[in-house]
Amino acid sequence: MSHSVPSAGRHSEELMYFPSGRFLKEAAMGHEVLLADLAWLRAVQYYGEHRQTDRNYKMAGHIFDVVTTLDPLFRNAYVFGGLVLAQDAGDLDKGVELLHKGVANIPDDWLLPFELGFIYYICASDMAQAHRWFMEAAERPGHPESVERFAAYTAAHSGDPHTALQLWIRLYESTENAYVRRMAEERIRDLMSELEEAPPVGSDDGPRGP
Amino acid sequence: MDKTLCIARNTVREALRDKVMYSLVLFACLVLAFNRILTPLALGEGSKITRDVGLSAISLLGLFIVVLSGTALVHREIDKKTIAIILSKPVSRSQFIGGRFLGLWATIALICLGMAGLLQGVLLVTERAIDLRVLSASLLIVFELMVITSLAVLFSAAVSPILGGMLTFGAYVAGSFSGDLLRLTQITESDPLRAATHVFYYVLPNLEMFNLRAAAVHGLPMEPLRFAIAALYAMVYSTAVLLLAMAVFRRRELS
Repeated sequence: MSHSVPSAGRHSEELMYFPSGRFLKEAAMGHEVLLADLAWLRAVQYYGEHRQTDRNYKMAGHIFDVVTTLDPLFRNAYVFGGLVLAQDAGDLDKGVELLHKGVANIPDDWLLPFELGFIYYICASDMAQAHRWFMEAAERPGHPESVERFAAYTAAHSGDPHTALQLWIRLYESTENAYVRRMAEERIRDLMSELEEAPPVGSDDGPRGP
Repeated sequence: MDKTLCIARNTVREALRDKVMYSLVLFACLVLAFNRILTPLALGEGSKITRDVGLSAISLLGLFIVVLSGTALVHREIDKKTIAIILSKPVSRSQFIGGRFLGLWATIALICLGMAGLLQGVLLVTERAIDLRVLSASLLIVFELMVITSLAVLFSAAVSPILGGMLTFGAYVAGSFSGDLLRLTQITESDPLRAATHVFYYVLPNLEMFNLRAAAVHGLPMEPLRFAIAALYAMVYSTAVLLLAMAVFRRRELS
């Protein structure tokens, strides 16, 4: 009787042999950004396969590290990778580490510190860190004014689901990444159900978000 | 100079008749078409991938043309015995080498700029915009290939086509690591190794200087000064290599 490895498992095994970003960068001979794109396509396929099967993303950290080592300016790889690692894979440390790498490589970008604040708020419920990173994002050029509102709100309130809902809605509206939109849609639906079950307005349940 | 340009024109005509050129151009068109198929899988990164694939295709296509055609430039004439006819006219060996180089580089420049035009066409259709950064990066690739072409002509004048092809490709690979060579000179504690590495760093072509693909793709500013320095470097380096090629060819037995 033959044993067939499930499709997702077979591809996970292949990713274990995927070379490191440092090695590929040297081997690329000036074509690192092209290799980064090929690794990105691989990362997207990997996420899609596992999302539809076992939801086990243990190689996600490796593949997103490869993409961002080959192309340190690949902003969306940090954003998507950070969300996948922190939210879907449940590995907050790896998600934060990836986004820190992004902040170091693209210091003028507001979105990466904002995503860090988002992850600290949503995944770690760490208001102090969330506030700190929303403030960092607010100091970078080109940020929307909602960043400052989130920074102010996290300073004043903790754990408020209205803020979480606003954050997910903002993410849903600003991304072109179909997987991220789906992720945000699911969270928005969950939070709206949670808010519908909450005590009605008029009872003493505090402010309603930025 | 007229004789050199005459040989250059003839080289362009010969090169454009070479079926290898059309196969490679077709390959490049297929790469761009294939790239459009990958765009839906890229999760919003389609335009980045289009630029990356396009610029890399231009660079690699140009390199293949240089390696396949450039290294047999002189040897082909010797093999067919037509070299004797050419040199029996009042055409010096130096003019012959200069003309061959100019002709091959002009062919490569035409093909690469044609590819760049095709890439711009794709961007115009998909994004309704011309991307000057991509054009600048393509121009730098043409200057990078000027350096590689000069080396191919040198090797063509000195050794067999197969060995010349290997040496040309080897020089391209080594040139891609020029940044690492410089870093090695800074970290090594051995004086002889530092001296040797310095020599290699200056003798081998510094191809990292021509690589602005990441800047073009990510929309970073491209400094005109850096562009000018890279173009000047290409011209000076190629001239030096061509002078060496002319000296080698002048001493070569053609019987």
